[in-house]
Amino acid sequence: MPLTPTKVKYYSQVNDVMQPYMAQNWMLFAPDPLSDERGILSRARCADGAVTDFYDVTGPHVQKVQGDRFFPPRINRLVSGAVMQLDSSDPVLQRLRDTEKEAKKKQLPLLPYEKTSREQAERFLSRYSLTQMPGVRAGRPAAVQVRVYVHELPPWSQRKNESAKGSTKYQDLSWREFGTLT
Amino acid sequence: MRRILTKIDGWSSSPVSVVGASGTRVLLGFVGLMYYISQYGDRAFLFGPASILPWQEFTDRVAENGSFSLYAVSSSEAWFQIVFHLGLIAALLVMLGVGGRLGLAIHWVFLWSIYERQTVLLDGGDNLAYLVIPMLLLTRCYDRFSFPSGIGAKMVNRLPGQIRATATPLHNLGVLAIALQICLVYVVSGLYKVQGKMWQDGTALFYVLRVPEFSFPSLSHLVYENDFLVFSGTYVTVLFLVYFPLGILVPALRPWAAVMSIGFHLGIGLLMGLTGFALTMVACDLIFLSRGLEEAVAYGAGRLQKARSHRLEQSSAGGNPGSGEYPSPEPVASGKAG
Repeated sequence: MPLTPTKVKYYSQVNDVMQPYMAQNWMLFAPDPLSDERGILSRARCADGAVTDFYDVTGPHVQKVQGDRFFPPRINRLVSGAVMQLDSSDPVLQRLRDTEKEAKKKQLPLLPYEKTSREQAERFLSRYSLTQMPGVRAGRPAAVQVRVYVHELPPWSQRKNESAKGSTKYQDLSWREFGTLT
Repeated sequence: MRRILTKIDGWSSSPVSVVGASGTRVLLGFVGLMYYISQYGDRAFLFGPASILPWQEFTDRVAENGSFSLYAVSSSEAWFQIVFHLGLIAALLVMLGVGGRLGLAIHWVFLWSIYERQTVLLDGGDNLAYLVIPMLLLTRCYDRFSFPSGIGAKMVNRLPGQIRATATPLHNLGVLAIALQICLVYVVSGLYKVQGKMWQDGTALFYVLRVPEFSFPSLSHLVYENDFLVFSGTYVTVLFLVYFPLGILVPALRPWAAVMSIGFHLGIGLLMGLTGFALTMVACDLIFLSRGLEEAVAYGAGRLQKARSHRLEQSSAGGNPGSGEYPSPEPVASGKAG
């Protein structure tokens, strides 16, 4: 259910009954649908210190999904799900942080469970990237780094402007040693 | 008071939507089967002991959630392959209508197990499937479109009359639970949408259809480049979701609400590539279209019968296949038709 005072009050009791077998989430592209292109690039560092170019991890799987309308493979969701998990939060905390941001106040730092969730997502993306870069795993890489990109597509007001390309933001995750991922 | 009692009595002695519930079971079985088939090539990478989500991390999460998964029983490759393939067969049997409700319960166990193995792959359709299948277990969803073995009927006959008498009320309760669940899905998702700025502005379809993951390259642009389609599509979606239960409450509107929902979800399946989600929603809508489904099946069967008789007549009018100038083009088919 959307966030309401009743939900805040009884969430814990209801959750105890519903989890795990009757858990439900019907947000379904709401309140705001995904409106940007998200994905990851990754690069590897060899034992001699040489670093590869960034490889597009997301693109090939998205192309497969676009080419198959009838039960397309879901492997692309490994990345989109983990990228969403990086910044996912409790709706109450999210609302609190949004209010602090609007008022230009210092934002509440990540809570321990949010840090754990983010750490899991980062590790997952790094491990996944290693399996996707052609030839890298066989070459015994020393470490891998993931770059998360968010390409904001041109807004509604620019829909008739063919030269509008939108803007892209990058976030480089820390290098992860190969031995810590397997 | 008497009228209410008569209504309750009637409702507990006459099963509703038997064909609809059977259709729901067939389609949910098909969607479950396609979940296995569409990931078949990647099964070891996604669900195996050496999966991208390490087996130990997976079992820790299952324990943390207080859940279970058959894939957590052993980390052996053989066990994984057995569980995966048995799950695939269970889904196929549910679709074909073999194994009865015990088979449906087994399918749920396998389906839940594979969902738990890689939760990041799941969407609203999978969520609805694991909620609705236990409700379907209450219903007579194997009365139609199935191959009964007779074992179930024999076992039922051995039960005391008082227990057998609960079959119809339980069936109707299951149908009611599915109807309430689908209404909840629509209303809650509609309420979430009315809070979103893009849905309020009438531009949500424009944004979501351009996201590469949900975009159909040769078709999506025809929608999001048309202002009228974007506005009307966005607002009709929200209005439809919020008011769906009203359409269901009014008997005259019920089939129309269900047909609209089916059209809406087939559109999502085609445009956004969310086939599993779309067909799961359609499966649940069939609960409201029992009579229509029965008429459609009867019409289809009638046409098939007519075509077969026509073919038979043609083949007998053609005489001995060996007597003509040319051999019979379809000797095997003629034999089948006979």
